[in-house]
Amino acid sequence: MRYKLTQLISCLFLLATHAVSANDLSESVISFHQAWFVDTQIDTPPPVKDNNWRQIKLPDNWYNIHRSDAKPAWYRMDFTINEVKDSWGIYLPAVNTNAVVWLNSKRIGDGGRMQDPAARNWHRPLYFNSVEHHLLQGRNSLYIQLKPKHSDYGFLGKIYIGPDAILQPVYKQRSLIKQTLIEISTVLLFSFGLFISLIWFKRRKNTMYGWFAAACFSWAFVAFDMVAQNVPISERLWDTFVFSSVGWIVISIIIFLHRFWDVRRERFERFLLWFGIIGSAVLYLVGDENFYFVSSFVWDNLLIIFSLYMTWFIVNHCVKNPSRDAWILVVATVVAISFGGHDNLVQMGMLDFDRPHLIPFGGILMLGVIAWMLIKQFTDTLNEMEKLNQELDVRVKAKSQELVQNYILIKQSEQEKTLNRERERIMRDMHDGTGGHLVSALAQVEAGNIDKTTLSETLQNALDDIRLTIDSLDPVDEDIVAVLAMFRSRIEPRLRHSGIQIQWKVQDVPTITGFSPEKVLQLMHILHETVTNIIKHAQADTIIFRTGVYATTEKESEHVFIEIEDNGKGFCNKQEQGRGIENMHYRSNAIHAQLELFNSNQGATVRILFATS
Amino acid sequence: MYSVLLVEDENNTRHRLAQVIENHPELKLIESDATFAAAMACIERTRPDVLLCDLDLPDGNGIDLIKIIRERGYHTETMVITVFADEQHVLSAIEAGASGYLLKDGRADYIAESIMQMMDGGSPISASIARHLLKKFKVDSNDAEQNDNQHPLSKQEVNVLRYLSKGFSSSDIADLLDISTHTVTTYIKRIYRKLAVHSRSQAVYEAHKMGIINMDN
Repeated sequence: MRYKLTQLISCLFLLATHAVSANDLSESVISFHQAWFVDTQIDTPPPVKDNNWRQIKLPDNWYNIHRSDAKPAWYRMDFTINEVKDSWGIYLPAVNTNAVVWLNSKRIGDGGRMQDPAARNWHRPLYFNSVEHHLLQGRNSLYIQLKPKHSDYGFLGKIYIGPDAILQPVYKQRSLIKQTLIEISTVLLFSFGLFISLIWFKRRKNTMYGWFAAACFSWAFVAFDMVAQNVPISERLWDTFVFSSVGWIVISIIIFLHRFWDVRRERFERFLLWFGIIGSAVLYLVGDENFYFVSSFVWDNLLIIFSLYMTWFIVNHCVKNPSRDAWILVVATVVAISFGGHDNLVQMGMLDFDRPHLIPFGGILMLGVIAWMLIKQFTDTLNEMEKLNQELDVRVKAKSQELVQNYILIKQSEQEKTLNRERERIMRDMHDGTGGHLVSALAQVEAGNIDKTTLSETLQNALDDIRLTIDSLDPVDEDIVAVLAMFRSRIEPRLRHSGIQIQWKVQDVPTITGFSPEKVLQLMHILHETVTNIIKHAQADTIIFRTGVYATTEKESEHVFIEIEDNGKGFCNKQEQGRGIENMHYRSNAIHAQLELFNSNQGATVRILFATS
Repeated sequence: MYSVLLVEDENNTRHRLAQVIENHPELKLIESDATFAAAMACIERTRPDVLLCDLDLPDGNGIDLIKIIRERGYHTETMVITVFADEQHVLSAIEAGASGYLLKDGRADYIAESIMQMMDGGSPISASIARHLLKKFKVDSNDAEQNDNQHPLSKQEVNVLRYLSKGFSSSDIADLLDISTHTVTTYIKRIYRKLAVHSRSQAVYEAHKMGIINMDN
């Protein structure tokens, strides 16, 4: 994979640098490898007889001329034609920065504005077609007025004149590489930058996206420089931005890679940033006469050092964390740096100026690979997140099931505890009540002292106790009146048999909070004891049951009361009170109720008081 | 004179109850049986006026006897005999079609009076049973107004049940509602009948909902 990629890149490189050479054109094309040159600023072709014409070779690079200004100069090429049959054109593969073409005494055309800021055709081939009308049979003179970019930054490459049918395809091919592909690269790089900057906008804390966007935008600007014909600012200021941008490409990528691979080199990054800022300031402030030296020889070469660091950093990471993508990035980086080095040599005049600049292609390659790595990281993260979510779902389900199981177990345990509590309560009550009565009955039978009435009463008491217990298990929703009503159903046959009437003066009262079945049973025992005492001892014929509510004066709290009033003889014998009333007090305390007894010879009243809250 | 069939598997209790019935001038004991099978044979043969029935029999359930009597349309009034008169047994019996219940240890006069009251159109009820009936018919016992015309109980029937649940006797209720005591006991019997119908209807509805029976045919 790596080998194939390297082969592909090499082919592109060769194609870009050599494919559009016009060297192999047919004999009908006239190519000029040398010309007459005169450094004069007139606007029309200087006369041939001007003694200042001197012969020079083409391509002609002004780099070493050391002129003091950026005014145009003239080239003249003489040639002879016998016959012109077809449409002819003039092809200028490379000029820096603009040219006007004259054929014989006719102005053929130009590449745009010649006054400052002149049209920038330093990376754009020029072609002038259909010039056959201006050709003469025999001797002809072709004049080129060249406008340099800078006092010593001008270039005129080889010049060709010949049939359009032959030259135009060559021009178009060169134009494709030097313009069209660069335009596409510019758009692609800008689009990368825009897309990534939108992501960074949404995730500001992830600064690596910001640095990558900065690299893309910087690289897009550098590429744009090659296709921008007219700029809204001075050439000098524009070039300052271009050279600064090259530096910020390197700085941005280094910092991006640090973030991407989670490497902390804060001091070095601070140094890089200061380098970028100070370097840009120097480029801005340096004088025009030194600008291109500082930018091309000093600035660019310093950037090579940082580029080498960048390459080392990438290779080092690949060695420690080998992966296919990382090695592809190594190759892309080497290629991009090579392309940059190539362009630098062209800038410095060490390579022919008519070579196409390759740095935009390096940008597409390198930033494209990085963009792919970012996308892969993003999708890997998404996949990981999905996997984690699925695992989390499974764990949550398992945990939920565990919780449900635990809840069921806890509920079962609580139910068992509740049942055990109730069982203990019922057992306790039966032990004290029913059990006692039955044992007493058994004792009477075994003793042979079978008094039918006593035995019957003992067994009836046992049955009554069981019924009270059963009634206490019936949910009454903390309603005292319901308890009283249940008690009446139980006791009424006995009262009727004893000739005692019931007056039922019961009204609705507030519920008693927390009135459990245990408390219901205790209350019913109190009521049972009270009524039993009345039946046995009071000699009453009427029992009045009352309920109601009143507030105590002491604490201003609300109390619910139950009153059982009889019209008997009252408690006239203290001994009759005995354990029964003692028991009633005990049970009242157990249910947090207050028991009051009122006694007279016209009857007794038992009052049971409950606080409502 | 009303013919009575007594079904009770405990011998002493059966003999005691049989004696109470035999001693009453308006009641005639035609048979006292200890098993479901014997009771069923007697019912088919004699069609008694009254069935006094224990619920737990050695070879069957008293509830089934009550259901068979209702399903076959016999004019036999049924009363269950219970030790504790707990609402579970009593309401099950009433839902099956029983007209009332008796305490097994009740005095002779109470037992005879209860049977005669039932033949006279009334039905015994306790405060606890009344409270559970209110829940069964989904009536809020503290809501004075019951305006739902679709409700199975009439407004007066609901009032009777409410007073009963608060411990008022039939005579107390008669005074409060300005009606006779007989009317109160008749209301109770009607409520029992409605419970039986309500239970049957509810069972049919539930069966239809579950797809066990098809009401569309």
